[in-house]
Amino acid sequence: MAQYLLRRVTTIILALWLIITVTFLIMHSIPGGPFASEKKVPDVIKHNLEERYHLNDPLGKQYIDYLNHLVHLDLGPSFKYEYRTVNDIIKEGFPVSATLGSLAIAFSLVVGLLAGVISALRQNHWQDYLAMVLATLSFSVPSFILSGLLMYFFAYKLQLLPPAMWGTWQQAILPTLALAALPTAFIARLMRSSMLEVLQQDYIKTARAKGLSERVIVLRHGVRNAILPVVTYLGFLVTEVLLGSFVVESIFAIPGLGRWFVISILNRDYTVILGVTVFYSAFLMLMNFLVDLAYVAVDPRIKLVDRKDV
Amino acid sequence: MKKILLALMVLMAFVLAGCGGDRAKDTADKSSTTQLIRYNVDAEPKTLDPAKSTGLPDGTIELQMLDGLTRYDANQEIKPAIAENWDISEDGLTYTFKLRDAKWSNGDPVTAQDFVYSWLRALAPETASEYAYQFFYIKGAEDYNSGKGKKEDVGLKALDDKTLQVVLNAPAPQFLGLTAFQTYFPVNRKVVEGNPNWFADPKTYVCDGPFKMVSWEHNQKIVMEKNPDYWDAKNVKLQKLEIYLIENLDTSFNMYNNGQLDLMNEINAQELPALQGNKELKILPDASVYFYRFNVTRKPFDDVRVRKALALAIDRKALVESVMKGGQKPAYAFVPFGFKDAGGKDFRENGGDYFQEDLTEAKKLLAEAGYPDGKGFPKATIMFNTQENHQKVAEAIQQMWKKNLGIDVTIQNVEWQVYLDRESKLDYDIARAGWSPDYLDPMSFIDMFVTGGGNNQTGWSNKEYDKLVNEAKSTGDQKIRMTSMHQAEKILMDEMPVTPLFFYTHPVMIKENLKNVIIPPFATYADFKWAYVE
Amino acid sequence: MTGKMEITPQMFKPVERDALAAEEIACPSVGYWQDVWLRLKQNKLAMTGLVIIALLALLALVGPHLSAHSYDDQDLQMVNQPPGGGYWFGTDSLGRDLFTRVCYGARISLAIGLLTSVICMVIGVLYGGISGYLGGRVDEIMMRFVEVIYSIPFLLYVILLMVLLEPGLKSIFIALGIVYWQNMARVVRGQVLSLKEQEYIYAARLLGAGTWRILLRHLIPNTMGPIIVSMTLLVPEAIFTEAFLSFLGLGVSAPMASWGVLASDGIQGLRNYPWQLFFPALFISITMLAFNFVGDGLRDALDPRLRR
Repeated sequence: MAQYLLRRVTTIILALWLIITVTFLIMHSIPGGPFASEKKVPDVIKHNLEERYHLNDPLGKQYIDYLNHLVHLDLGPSFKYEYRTVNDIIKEGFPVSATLGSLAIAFSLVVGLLAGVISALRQNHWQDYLAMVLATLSFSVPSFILSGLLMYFFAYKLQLLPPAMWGTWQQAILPTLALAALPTAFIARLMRSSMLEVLQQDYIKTARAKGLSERVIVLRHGVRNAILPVVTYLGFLVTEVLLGSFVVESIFAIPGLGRWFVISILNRDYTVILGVTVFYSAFLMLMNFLVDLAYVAVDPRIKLVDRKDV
Repeated sequence: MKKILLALMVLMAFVLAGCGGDRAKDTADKSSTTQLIRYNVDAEPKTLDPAKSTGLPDGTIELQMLDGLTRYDANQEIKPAIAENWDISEDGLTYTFKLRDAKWSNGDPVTAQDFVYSWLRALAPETASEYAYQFFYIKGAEDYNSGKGKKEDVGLKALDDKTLQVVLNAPAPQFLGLTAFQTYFPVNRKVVEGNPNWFADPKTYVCDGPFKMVSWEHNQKIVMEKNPDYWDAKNVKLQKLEIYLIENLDTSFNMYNNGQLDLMNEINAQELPALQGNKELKILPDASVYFYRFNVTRKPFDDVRVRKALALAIDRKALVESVMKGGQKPAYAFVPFGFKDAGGKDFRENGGDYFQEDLTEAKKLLAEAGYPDGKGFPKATIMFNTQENHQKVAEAIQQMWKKNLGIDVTIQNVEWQVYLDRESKLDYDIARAGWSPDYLDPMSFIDMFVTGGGNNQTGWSNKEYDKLVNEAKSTGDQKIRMTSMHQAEKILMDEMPVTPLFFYTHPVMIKENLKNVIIPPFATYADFKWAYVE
Repeated sequence: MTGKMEITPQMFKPVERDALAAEEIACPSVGYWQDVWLRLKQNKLAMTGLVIIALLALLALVGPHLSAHSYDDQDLQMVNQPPGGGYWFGTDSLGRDLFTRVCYGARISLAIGLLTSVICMVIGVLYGGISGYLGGRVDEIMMRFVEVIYSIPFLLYVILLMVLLEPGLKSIFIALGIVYWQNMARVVRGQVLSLKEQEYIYAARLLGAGTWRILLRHLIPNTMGPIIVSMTLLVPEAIFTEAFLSFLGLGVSAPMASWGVLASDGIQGLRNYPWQLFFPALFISITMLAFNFVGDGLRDALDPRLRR
């Protein structure tokens, strides 16, 4: 167990180092720097700017400086919003993204699992069809279209909900729905097929034969076993929600990290892009790690072995 | 079993019902006549330090909180602000400003020394201000900024607490207008020296303007309230100002319709036709031009006949009416409307149009250049930065050239930074561009195209043109300046290294009970100093 | 297990023919793929999906010829026209026929989906095959590399690539290919890993087949099922991702536009010209569904556990 943990942690560090290096190189090979602007500044001023941000140091030195700061958990200043550091931006944006993300994940788990179980239990009844039609629909609409439609109907047409911004619970509803739609659909479908499979197993028949109540059969024997594939999906779920947040946060004007990230890519804000990428990657790897551990906790058949099949 | 199912269904119904929610509260608080205006400036400001800010959002936000020596009024006239009055020496080189008794929001008096300190700070090489060149009219400023000269040699002096003297390199009538520009705003020396990040926090943002900052939620909104210490506070009726920082125009439009905004700065072109006749839609003038650059170092654009042929074969009226739809004016010259000529009349109206669309002429020119009916015309590309409207304009022009001249060009959208980079490296055939002035004088447009100018970016060079620009720059005599600039513009349009397409407008949506909001044609989006809610 | 036993021809002797005949199966023999097809045919959703895909392909091929307008013909007098006689799907903000543009969009979006999935298959099969087959250290290093790539938020990757490569069809293929191949690699590796322990591989190796021969002749053909399923499911995913990029202004556009670009253009006119969003969005959704149905159907058809 200890050996396994050590291995995973070294992998994560190795991966992070690779990410930093590759991203650093890609960023510096892209045309246009952070100080390009439509009105050309005189060369002296450009020189002053580059001097200030050490952009005219040799690339190797910039790289080593960056790594050095990183070890001290300092992701550097933003080039564009110069009074702010990347740490500030993450500190400010991530809690918002995390809140929205958790809401979306909670929604997709609750609704997805419920819908999956119900449609499995009522296979080929209207409940099943309704749930699957809804799931299929939200599965097939790109998130930017769904976000636009949600805003159009609920905020513009019906004027039921505020169209944008962040702070009140009403403002959280539309973005949560937009973000959760796809994973909810996925979980519902996954749960349904998994549940159907489990319900055909012999041990369910045994349980029935023993005269257990339907409730016990469904909850203790059915759901508990059927939920395993959903647990494996959790890692993807986090990634999915995180990527979806780029679109959803931009459309609903939510001050989360995803929106910052999209803005800083357009701005060529080197340090923010690098910092947020490193942060996201570390976060995702940690999440996947936790999901693996959770899987072991849920499924007694699996033990952590030294080699992990990816 | 049935029971579980029922419970599950109820739970699900509950969850779904929760999504319906009740009516949003935000719509409710636009009640009666609280003196509050909510405005979207379309972006998070890059900085609110006036010495370093460059963007329109930044300048607009600063303008509400800071007062320079002068301020533009509703008619775009320069009016005294912190400066009570001023003297200009006869040679046009020395400006002496007399300051009024104004206070910073922390109680300190605003002094001439504050101005000297602020301007020198913006010029200091270590500040690395992008707009430092806005001060280069002042004697010794450029040398100091580039590290060649000393701070003491800059032509700036506080004669006493209330008198500021400025010495220029050469007469520059636009200088007075610049003192209302963001880079020239004063900052409080004590505050700035005590805390280099003073501008990032509402608590330390000491200001001398009509409003002061209460809170700043990044990527959301900045809240301001009336500054009681402002020297002209009796003329400020607005109690509260909320400036939103949201970049998505669709979202912004929905917020306006939902009553979360009172004033919208920009509107998608696709919304405009449906808004015709809406009393809240106002189409305001904008002193900017939309044009295409030709790379004259590349074939076939090194041939003036080709450039002219292409320029004459664009139906600008169709472009404006069917594509832009915002009441823009077709442009047949480079300098937009809204600049005063020597006699007080409009520079553009005096100058008139320099060319007309003419298909026969265009075809003739193209044939003379060796491409009859577009035959043999080399592969060429229109480059533009990724944006909905630029793409539509490019597609429309592509089609016009194909139909009218038989020329096939491709169009290419590139990301903003790449676009800037390629433009400055002359790595393009035809490139979309736009220009808005830094100050209210045609020179802001004319001096772009001098040989080797940083904003030329066409490779074009003309000795006569350079001479005329120099002439205009070395005198304070408006008559000579304006005549030279008219002549220079004519050369520019004859040679056509750039072809103007249209003059911008500024369509905004504004609630009808908002009064006296100034929406100037350049430099900032809006001034709320005199604004109020009826 | 295979150990030290020596095998000589003398150890084998011909089987009696009659004994074989006695084992003959009464049913006509059905090949593996025939079997899959038979089962797929019973799946109504999957068949509907197949029909839709065929129709979409047909639309992409002949659709543009059905309309009187070409995809880039602008009529500035006829901008934003609703669907009607002259324009089946209406016109866009430059007065171009939306029907023709949607048909061309089909070509581009389908090409993106199909080519991306082919690119991924090639890379994935080679990478995953080698990794799984060689196993041990090589496998570990190769899979760790996949893990590293996988942990990078792909959007950053794609955006950076799109900027580096200039927006266009080619860049989309490369960017999406680079992002999605690892999934395929994992699938193939997993398959190979379990298959290579099977007896017929031991047998092949025993008979002296080389690494490449085993890989290409024995392992990969037997992993084809899951690969095809993954490919089918990758098509809509690539189309989806391209639409996502279009929203960020990095899609394929001008003068031909993908569905994603058409939809993200259309969303701005949602309030006034809903058809400009409706048609491209409809086609994206239909394609999504069709490929997913077929993919799911194939998976079921290939699943040996469901074989009756």
